[in-house]
Amino acid sequence: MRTLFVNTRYLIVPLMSILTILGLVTGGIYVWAGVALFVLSAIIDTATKNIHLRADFDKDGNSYGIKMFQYGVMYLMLIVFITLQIAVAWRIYQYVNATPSEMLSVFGLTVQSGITGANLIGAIVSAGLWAGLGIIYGHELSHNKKEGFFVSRLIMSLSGASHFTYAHVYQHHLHLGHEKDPATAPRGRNVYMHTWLSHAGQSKFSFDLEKSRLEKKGKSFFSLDNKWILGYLYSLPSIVLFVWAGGIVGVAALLSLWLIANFELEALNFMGHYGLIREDGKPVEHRHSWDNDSVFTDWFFIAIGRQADHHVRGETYFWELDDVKGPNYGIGYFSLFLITLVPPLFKKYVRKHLDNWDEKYANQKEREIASQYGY
Amino acid sequence: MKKSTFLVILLVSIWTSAVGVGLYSVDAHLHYRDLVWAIPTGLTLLITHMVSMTLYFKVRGDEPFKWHKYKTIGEKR
Repeated sequence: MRTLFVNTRYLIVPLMSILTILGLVTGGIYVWAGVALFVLSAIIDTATKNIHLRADFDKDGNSYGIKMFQYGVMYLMLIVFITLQIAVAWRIYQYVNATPSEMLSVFGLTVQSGITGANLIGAIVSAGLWAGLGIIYGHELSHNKKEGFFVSRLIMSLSGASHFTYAHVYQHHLHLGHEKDPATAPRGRNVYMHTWLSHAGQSKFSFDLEKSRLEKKGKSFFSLDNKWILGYLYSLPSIVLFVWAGGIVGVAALLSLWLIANFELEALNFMGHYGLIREDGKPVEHRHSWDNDSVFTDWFFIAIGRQADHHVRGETYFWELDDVKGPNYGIGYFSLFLITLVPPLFKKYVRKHLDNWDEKYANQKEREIASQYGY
Repeated sequence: MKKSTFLVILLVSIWTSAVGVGLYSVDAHLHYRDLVWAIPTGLTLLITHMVSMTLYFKVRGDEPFKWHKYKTIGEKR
């Protein structure tokens, strides 16, 4: 029973993503299902912010997590996210074609054909919010050295961010807490500026890495062996789908979808490391990441909030990550995300947490560096 | 605004607009439902984005990612 519970509790995003797709297919007001589910998740997360659980192990110290099941779900999520894009592209197709509104029966499901402009916005925002959550699977699989790494690249490419997979493992994990890592937000930067700088910085890392690698091999930069180019090419099917479905409207929709998805991705990076400092060359320790491990956040985001443990044991499966008493905001990601959306509010909120970090976690050198920055 | 920021915004705007005008002049916006048009149009848009990113990397270098601009003088705010 415990095994069943531990393994199924991480199915919140898969189930809600499928409900979002069903909403898009059903049409009418139901295209907003993704937005409604996101709001519902934020409410549950805020209501349960004080509940913190530990990872589950049996009396012999073995995890209840079943690797084959969890990996199966993560691989299937690639199909789910592709289906999500096809569903929203279908709605764009109908909007551009001015398909008349009528009720149809498809496989026993009553579907409303046609879509209004307002509902198209709902469909795009719904799809963007849940496409952005692909990060949690793209992130976990980026640490897999086999086929999982490739699946991670494909999942991230659906949001035009395939470079993330390389940058996360070979840049972020090595340099976090330092300006060499664009995914770490220094004190004083807001989430909006961070979204661009982190996105561009990670892409630049992949660009520079491939330039240098191919130069050493005596190959041209303009090659299909270039993983920066290849990563963007993985996004080509999405672009063609949206161009075909809606022309200029389709391109605008895809840009909106990617913008929302990448904002979510970078907001997670922002929340995971904001203002934390590490001396260049010193080992990464638990104090260099913020934990967010309230119960709903933990299950919803497949334990991505257990950053402190994850950054010290990067190869550890998410279901085995535990509370290691690292710095902790004490609230879930949804609650914190809402605060980050208002930079002056976030600055006020984060002050006491940064002061606490400076006093109780930082070493002398880190404290000296921190004193040069605001909040 | 720094000169290099202004320059990259200008370059990316000119480049993107030129591609947009090019696509419009060949009526890509009228033929997108034909896959023979949709695939090259999609590829053109992707290359436009990649060139824009490259322009940003080349003009701005590592400067946007440096932390010195966030340093404060005097009392922490």
